[in-house]
Amino acid sequence: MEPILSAQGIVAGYRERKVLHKVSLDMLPGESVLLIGPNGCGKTTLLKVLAGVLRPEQGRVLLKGTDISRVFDDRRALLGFGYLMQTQSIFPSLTVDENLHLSFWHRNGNFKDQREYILSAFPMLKPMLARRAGVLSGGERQALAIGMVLMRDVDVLLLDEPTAGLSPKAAATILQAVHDVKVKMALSTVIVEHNLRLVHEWVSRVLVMNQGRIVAEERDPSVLLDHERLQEYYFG
Amino acid sequence: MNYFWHLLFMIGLYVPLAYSLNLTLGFGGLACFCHAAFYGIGAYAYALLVTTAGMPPTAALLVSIAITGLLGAGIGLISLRFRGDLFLFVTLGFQMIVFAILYNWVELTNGPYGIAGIPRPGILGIAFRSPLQYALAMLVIDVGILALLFAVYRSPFGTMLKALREDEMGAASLGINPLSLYLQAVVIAAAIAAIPGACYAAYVTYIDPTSFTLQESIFQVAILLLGGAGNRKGPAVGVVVMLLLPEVLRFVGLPDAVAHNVREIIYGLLLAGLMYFRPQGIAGEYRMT
Repeated sequence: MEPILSAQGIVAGYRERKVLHKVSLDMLPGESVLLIGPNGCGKTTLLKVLAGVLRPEQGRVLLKGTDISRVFDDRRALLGFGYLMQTQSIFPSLTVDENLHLSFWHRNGNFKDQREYILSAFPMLKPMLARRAGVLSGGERQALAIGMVLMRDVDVLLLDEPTAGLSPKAAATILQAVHDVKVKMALSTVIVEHNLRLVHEWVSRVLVMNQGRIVAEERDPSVLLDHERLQEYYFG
Repeated sequence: MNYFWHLLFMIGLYVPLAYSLNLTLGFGGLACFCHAAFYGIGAYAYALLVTTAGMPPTAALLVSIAITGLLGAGIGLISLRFRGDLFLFVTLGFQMIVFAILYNWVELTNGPYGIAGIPRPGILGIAFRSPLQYALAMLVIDVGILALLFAVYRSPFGTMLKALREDEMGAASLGINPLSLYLQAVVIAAAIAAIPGACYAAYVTYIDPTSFTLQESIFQVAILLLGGAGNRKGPAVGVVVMLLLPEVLRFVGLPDAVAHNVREIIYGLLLAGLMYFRPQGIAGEYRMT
């Protein structure tokens, strides 16, 4: 089966500081790939390169076999990338409804139907539609940020710490909702998440990163519950 | 009574200037300091077209809008390579360049001597003469411009601009093209600024570069800072306060010798105080940083 998303020999970083060193990965349609690794190992940078926010110095990114390395982030979004950044990308001065509308304008179909679908996945947003996004709680903000990403036609979902800063209950709710939507929309996802206990049952493959490289690949997500093994990966 | 109508005309003149600047500064968060340049280009284009080219006022107005929009696109393309303070300084630079051109390109603009004898427009062959007629005509024009701008504010375009203002990278990740959207906003704002420019030229029948200085650009930004930006109320409040306050101060009995300077000081103090106590302006939504 042809990979839906490939990264080949990615070298990237911020000015003089190289963060990724020849990173390659292939993702099959419908797969859920979890990126783990110690802080600063390059997980977020890899997501940025995949999303088009950061240009790699070397290497290529291919979507369904087409080289999209030179395509900017806004165009990639229209090609089917949904990218949830580490910082919640909501617009505080706009209402929840306007925030949802923002991501829908480039899409064909009925806004109300799609909004209804997102609200059924994230019911906590329903009573908040007319409120400004700035007044939402942390969990509601994250639900909105993910809801906005999913309002569009998305094939590949890139999630950078979707439960960061949330209570365990809110984190579980968000991850469950994301998983349900992912299954229903047959999305391929790359997720960076530290809440390994919560996420392990929903991922199909685990990539371990360290010092800008993918150092291990595990097809059995139960490895995420093996602390000794993880320590070995993280600290060598 | 002419004084009252003159004031009303001036308020009517600044309304589209403030509301068009509100699109870039208030909605887009772009601190554009060359709005007076667009206003001036509109005024000069109109004046030259009706005097030198002998064009009818309505056609001259339309062409001046197109010219200003086109120049706005050029200025926008260059200045939108920058953001934040750098954008501010680049637009400020363009303001100074436009003023220098108006002042020094004597063959085209008549330089510091300005353009005199701009014909008065009219309806059905009757030329406007009194401030009342101009004020009423300005009112009609403002209604049209505001209807257009309010539709733009409410449209997806307006919401996307607000999104860019708050988080450009986040908006891009949703498929919004920042450069394209910002450029459209600058062009719309520039084209609309040309209308009061042409109206001003038609009203005073004489223009020179001193009406379109950097100080004028700062004044227009100050209108939004004081009244508030990013919504529909702020610019109107700013225009009324900034234009009527000096007139009110005329009647407080300041000695003639210092009246102008004291008025400027009061103006400055008010702005500084407002930025301290209410940085988003009297009726604003967006806080300029």
